[in-house]
Amino acid sequence: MALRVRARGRTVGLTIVTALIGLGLGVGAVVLVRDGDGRTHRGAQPSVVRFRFPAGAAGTSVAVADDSAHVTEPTSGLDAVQAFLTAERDGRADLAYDLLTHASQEEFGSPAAFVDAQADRPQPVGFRVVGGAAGADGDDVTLDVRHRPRLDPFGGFVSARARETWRAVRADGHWRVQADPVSFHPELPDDSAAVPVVADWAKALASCDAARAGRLQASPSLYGPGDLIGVPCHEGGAWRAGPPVGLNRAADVQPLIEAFGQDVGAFTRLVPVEGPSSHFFAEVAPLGDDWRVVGVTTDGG
Amino acid sequence: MSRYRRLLLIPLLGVALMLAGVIPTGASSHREAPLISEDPVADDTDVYAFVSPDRPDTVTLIGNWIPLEEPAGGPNFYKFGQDVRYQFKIDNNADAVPDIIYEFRFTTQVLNAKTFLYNTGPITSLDDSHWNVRQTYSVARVDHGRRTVLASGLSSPPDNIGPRSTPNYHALASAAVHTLDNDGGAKVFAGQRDDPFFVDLGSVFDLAGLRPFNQAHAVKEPKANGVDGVGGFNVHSIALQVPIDRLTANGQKPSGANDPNAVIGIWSQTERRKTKVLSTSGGAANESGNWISVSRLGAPLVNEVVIPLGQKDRFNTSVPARDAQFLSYVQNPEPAQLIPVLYPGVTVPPAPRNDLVSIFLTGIKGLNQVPNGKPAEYLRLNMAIPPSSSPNPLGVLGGDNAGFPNGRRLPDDVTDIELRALAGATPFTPDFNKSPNNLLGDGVDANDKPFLSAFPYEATPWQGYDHTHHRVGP
Repeated sequence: MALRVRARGRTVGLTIVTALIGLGLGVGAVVLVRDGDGRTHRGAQPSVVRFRFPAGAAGTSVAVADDSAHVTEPTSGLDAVQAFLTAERDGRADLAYDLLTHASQEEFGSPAAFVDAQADRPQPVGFRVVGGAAGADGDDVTLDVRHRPRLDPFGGFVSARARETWRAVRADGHWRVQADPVSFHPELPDDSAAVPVVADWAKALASCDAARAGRLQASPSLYGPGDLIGVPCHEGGAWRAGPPVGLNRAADVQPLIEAFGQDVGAFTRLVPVEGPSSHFFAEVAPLGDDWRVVGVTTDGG
Repeated sequence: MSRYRRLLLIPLLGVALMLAGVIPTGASSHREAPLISEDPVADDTDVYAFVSPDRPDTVTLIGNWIPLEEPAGGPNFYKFGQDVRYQFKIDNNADAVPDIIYEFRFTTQVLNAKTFLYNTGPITSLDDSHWNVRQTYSVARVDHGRRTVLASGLSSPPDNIGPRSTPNYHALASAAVHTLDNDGGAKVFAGQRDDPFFVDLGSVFDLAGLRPFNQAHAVKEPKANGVDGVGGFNVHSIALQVPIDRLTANGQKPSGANDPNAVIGIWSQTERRKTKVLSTSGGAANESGNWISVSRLGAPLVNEVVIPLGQKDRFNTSVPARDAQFLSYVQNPEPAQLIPVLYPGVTVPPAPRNDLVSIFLTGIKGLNQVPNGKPAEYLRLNMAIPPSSSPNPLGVLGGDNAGFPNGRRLPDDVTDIELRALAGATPFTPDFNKSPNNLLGDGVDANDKPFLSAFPYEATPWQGYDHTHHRVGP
């Protein structure tokens, strides 16, 4: 039985082989003799014989970026970290790239790629050294860093202030800096400051003043169920905000996680909002030193 | 047949089977690589870049995602991924690194989670309360690493459901064209459209059949016209129309076609966060970490049939600046090696194929090549070449310099163009620019729906209630 199957398999295989050779020969032959009436076939329109390009002088070379600026060689780990953050603060990502460790440079691939990556990195606007420690893996420098604050779905959240520790390592006689801090602790506005913001926002919604409410939001559109946003205007009456709680109290914060990443719970809070007969959570996040509403969600009640 | 003769045929069998990958019909970039084929919302199918025919002071960029959308896709109709970052990348100084990036992120809102319905009545406007599952999006522009959020909360139109749900779809889509006042008056649209790509997908993957030549096929079928294999299917499109001076390196409109600032490189990219943790409670996955490229698309074909199977996923995660690693595949492409075997009598230029390097990696001198530019695989558009008053779907190969491979327009028949290019039917290799090489084609020469004359140009999507797949002929 097995032999018969194998023999039949050989026959089928031979048939396929023969057919495929025929396919190659047949199609090739057809292509050579052309098709008679292929209405949808563009055989009648062959490719051009020669390109006809715009007349004129040959193009000039691409402008080459100014590479005359160089960093001063750091003399210590502290010196390297300060030089690196200074370059980033001044928007000189090209100089900052020169101060990266070889491994970090490899990760980005080129100075231009590092410039490109700046959009996803916190942008320092100032810093102050608060401590340092030498270790087996390099010198750690701790700083209070001020950033350009940010909250958007592209680059995520960046606090106005953070305490950060950066590591410099010495290799081949040069001090160089790792591309990302070894620790990053954002400094957020006090939770209690979110309450009056949300209270004003809810009052604005209750008076159907979307423009005033929008000024207390991080963006015109909010995350979460759309029908909740319309409840205060529909219901009217007095609305108030309660003390903030953690994100884990909400029924569904998935939209926030998808927009801002898994660490969204570290910087967002839920503020209970209660009206005459309805209640829900406003989701707030810091934008600089202020809290702003970023979304809404049900409180499960 | 002797054993020896059978053995001789074995390589031919392998070669013939590989013909399925020879003809550039991976549906441009629909499901072109193993990993991305399992992630449709992140799978960019095509990218287009052309000087806008009705606004020649602007360039239109179009990227499409979600291949082969069945219009009757309810109850959970297709939408953009909320956890995906969609991008157009533009290199305006030929260093293969993006100088300008346009980014898009989407948010889904469900008005009423207690119904299974996409809509609870006719959707007659973008704020219609009957529309239950809707998306808005944000747009950002990154200039040399500095991001500006241009707009947020922009409405995407609903999917085209049917006459009861979306009775005036054109009006809904028109209302979803937005103007970005802080980007020189750029226009933007994001939503469902008819898939503008056209190719005889069903025939070419059926043992490399070409329907007009069915009678000559070894396994004969009745002679037929080409059939648009992606006809009747939709995609999700992001279209952007930007003033030319917002795209050049010097911020000015190019002085002429030979101005090196006239040429830009364009590719689309889709990114996901690096880490994904599935939920055990029925919720969506938690995603965290840096954004990683999962899909990348410039010129059609390259990742489909030039890059081998084992490198396709790598290509999607790579960046143009490192395309030197793929150079050998372009210089000596596997399809070009196979054509003479599968089409006896057809000869192709020998390797190294510097003609293909020009088309795909450096641009064509005098057309869209920037001197001293870094070789990279993306679309190159000379923005100083005005749109053609009578576009030729064969583009530059048809004597129309406003078309592919100078950028790519919606009507450009890239399948036929690239098939001929692989066969050497271009002026780069005049000895091969002759019949039959310069007549090759799949028999599908136009889209199944006419394009619009104004932004966003792509045709209205097929509706779920009434649509036709695989219509024969143009």
